Amino acid sequence: MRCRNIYLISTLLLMILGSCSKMLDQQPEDGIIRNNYWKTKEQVHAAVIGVYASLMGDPSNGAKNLDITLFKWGELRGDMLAASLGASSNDIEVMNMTTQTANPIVDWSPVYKIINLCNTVIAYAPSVLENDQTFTKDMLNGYIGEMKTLRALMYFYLVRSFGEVPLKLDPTSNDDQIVQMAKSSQADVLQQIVKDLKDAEPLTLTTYGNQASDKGRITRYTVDAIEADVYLWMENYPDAVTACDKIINAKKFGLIASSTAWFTTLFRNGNSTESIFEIQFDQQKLNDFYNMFGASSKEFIASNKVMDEIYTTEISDSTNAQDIRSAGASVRAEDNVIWKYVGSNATSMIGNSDSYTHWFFYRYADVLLMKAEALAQIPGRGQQALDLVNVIRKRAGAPASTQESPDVNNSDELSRYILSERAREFAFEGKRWYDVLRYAKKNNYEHISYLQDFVAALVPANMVRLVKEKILDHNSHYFPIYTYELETNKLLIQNPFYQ
Amino acid sequence: MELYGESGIVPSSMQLNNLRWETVVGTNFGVSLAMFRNRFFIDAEIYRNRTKDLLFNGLEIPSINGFNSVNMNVGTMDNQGFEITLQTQPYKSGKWKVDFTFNVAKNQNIIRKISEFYPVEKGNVTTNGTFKTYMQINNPFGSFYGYNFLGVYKDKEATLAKDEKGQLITRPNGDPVYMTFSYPSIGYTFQPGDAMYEDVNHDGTIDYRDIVYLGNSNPQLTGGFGINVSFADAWRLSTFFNFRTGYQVVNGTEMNTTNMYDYDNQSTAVMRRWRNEGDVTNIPRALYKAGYNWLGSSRYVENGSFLRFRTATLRYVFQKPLLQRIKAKALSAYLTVENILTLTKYKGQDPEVSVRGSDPFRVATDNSMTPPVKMFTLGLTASF
Repeated sequence: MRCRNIYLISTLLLMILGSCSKMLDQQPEDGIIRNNYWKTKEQVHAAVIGVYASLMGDPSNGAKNLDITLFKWGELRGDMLAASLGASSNDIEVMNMTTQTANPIVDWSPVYKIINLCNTVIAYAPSVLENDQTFTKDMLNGYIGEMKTLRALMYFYLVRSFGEVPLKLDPTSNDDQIVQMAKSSQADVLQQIVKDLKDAEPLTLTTYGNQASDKGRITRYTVDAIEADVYLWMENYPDAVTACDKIINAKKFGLIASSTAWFTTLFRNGNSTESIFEIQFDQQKLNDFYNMFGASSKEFIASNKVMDEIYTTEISDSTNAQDIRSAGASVRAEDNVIWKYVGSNATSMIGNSDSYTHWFFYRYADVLLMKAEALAQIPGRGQQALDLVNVIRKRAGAPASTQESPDVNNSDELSRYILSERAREFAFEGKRWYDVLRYAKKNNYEHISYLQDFVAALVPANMVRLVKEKILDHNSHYFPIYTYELETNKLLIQNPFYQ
Repeated sequence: MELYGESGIVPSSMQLNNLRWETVVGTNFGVSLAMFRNRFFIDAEIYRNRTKDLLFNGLEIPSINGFNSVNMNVGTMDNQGFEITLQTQPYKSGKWKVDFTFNVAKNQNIIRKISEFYPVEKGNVTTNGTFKTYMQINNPFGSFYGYNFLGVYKDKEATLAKDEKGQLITRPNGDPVYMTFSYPSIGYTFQPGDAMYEDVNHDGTIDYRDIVYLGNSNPQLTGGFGINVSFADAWRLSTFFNFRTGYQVVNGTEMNTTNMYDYDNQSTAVMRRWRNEGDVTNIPRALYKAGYNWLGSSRYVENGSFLRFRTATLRYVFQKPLLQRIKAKALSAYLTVENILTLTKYKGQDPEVSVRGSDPFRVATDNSMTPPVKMFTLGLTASF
């Protein structure tokens, strides 16, 4: 009896011990682990496509999507949005320039998620050269170029939104690589962005053989467009012109001419000859814009200023001249619905399940206006700048009411005109705040008072005085670091304005 | 993931090289003493359960790593304290027997070592309803911080900012300065009818520099005692009391029913709220989804010490002659009453808030809308 018990116990023990070692060496059944990855060129390709697909959002954990983040960072503090029923108190807080550190809109995780994916490819793709003889150095370089450019673009959003951010260039793919990091200065981040773009430019391809890939993946022209934008921010105007010229001289892009199908071709269908780089939402992966702009509980509509002052469409105008970019493109005039992402053509709206209008990082019109902006700052080239603005205006059929005749030798008048034109051209494309700030901060904050007045017009009357005081502190132009990041990354120091 | 017909792959989670089993080492030292023919019995114990490689599921990590959370062994935590139990039979004569039991305990959770990724503080003091808590190595969990609530600004004059001598603060041009909230990042100017918080540093603005220690969620002592009286082996009355001393409770019910921030039902106390210039009250004005009237402050913190008469049971055990007649082995009838009486200064419904757990940032908050249920149970036990 006793003997049998011992026998039984030891069998049980054996079973437990046996299962123990098995338990410690479990491989996931529904995935692939890193040790088995990075072996073939197909895997590198799939990883790169995975990064682009991640721009559409991360379906795996319900994280905040990049499209919402980029839209809100670029537009909430601008003058073209108004809150609608679905606007949260967090939205209102940012719109009123009272952003708090606990406001989830300043959560930068969707952007760093992309950066980490880029870093992962940059770090591990080279090892595939040893394992797959058919994977060439040129192929590798092309992928590295794409990833460095995308990383630069993400850091460019961060640096313009936060000023100073941690500069993480190595991947985190296992728990030994988890780091805490201090912020790098704005100059250092910009320097890295420029370096990445310079490295990437000769490596990236000019085409991938089909339109969707050419607009959905980074080409050499995307690198140039980002470069131009970065140089404008850094006030390096000659280099910005050079970067724009590379795109213009390639003669691969053009403005979509005004027609009844203009809106559908350029925005709704996307991937047009005007497009340079877009997020490729489609029926399988929808964006968040219908809920934000189209649904009855929408968060935002266009501010009255958009139709009244920015496009100045007078209904009584006898010439009937109307900017094609205004009603039926940016806005639905009767109720100020933000049309750009929810129109299927100039008059009918898409449904909830068709919310896949692309997000436009850069298009050719941007290249022309960036070049104009740079030229305006170079003595003697003001006329060329004005000519470029007129190209854009002509395409749009911009009416006389928004026509200005700046002195071509007065860079400030020109810049102001270009700033207004950019508002018309890129309404709700996530650029407004960066455009205004870029104008205000140049020449050592030459136009700080413009920014003060700009912001004062956005907030409730009782906050005007305070907000004007705030703007004098340049740190207030940048977001606070999200509380979560401060709690988990002890090396971070909050933007002093929000401490 | 797919993109224009091509498939892409992304890592869904990171590789874990460092995950280890969590180990718990328990140490305790106890004394049991029985004296006077078991009429006096004492049992004392000091214990410490040390958890090494404390496993934290989904620890939040800086998002610059591209992932938001990871499972990690974060450190060493001690769960320590003491327990004393005393049993005596102070009176015994003839048919009467009186027993007395008493126990007292103290329990603390202390972090001894912690991963650099573990947050050291929680709570945003510019958000309504939030208290600030810190985690300090070698200090027990439980302290929480917030503003000192002084009442309600009765009129415009009351919102003028004053320095430490009670003199008005003025701008360089002589204009008076009004009290603001978290200037300049929020810069909300307090209006008559808003909650008034103490400007501890007298700088004219209420912000994180004005938060003070408000209390501790961890009781100094918890325990209970009971008296059992039996007569002639037939009647038995047993009672049990429990108590906690030296801890503070956040009256979450008061917070939720007087904040007037949403469409939720409110307490009748809000009838006393500030409505017109000059009203003197301690309930701020109603502000729908706006304002800073219910920040984590002393207004909601109360002494949670209590003594509760938890249960009383009166039992009658039927005696042999009856049992034999109905052929039963045992038969008894009883009446139990629970939650009979609570002696406390706490104004909310129930100061007995669960305080155990390993979240170092937990604040003992009472959200109960009804008092603990008073329960009467009438029973009959029989065995055949």
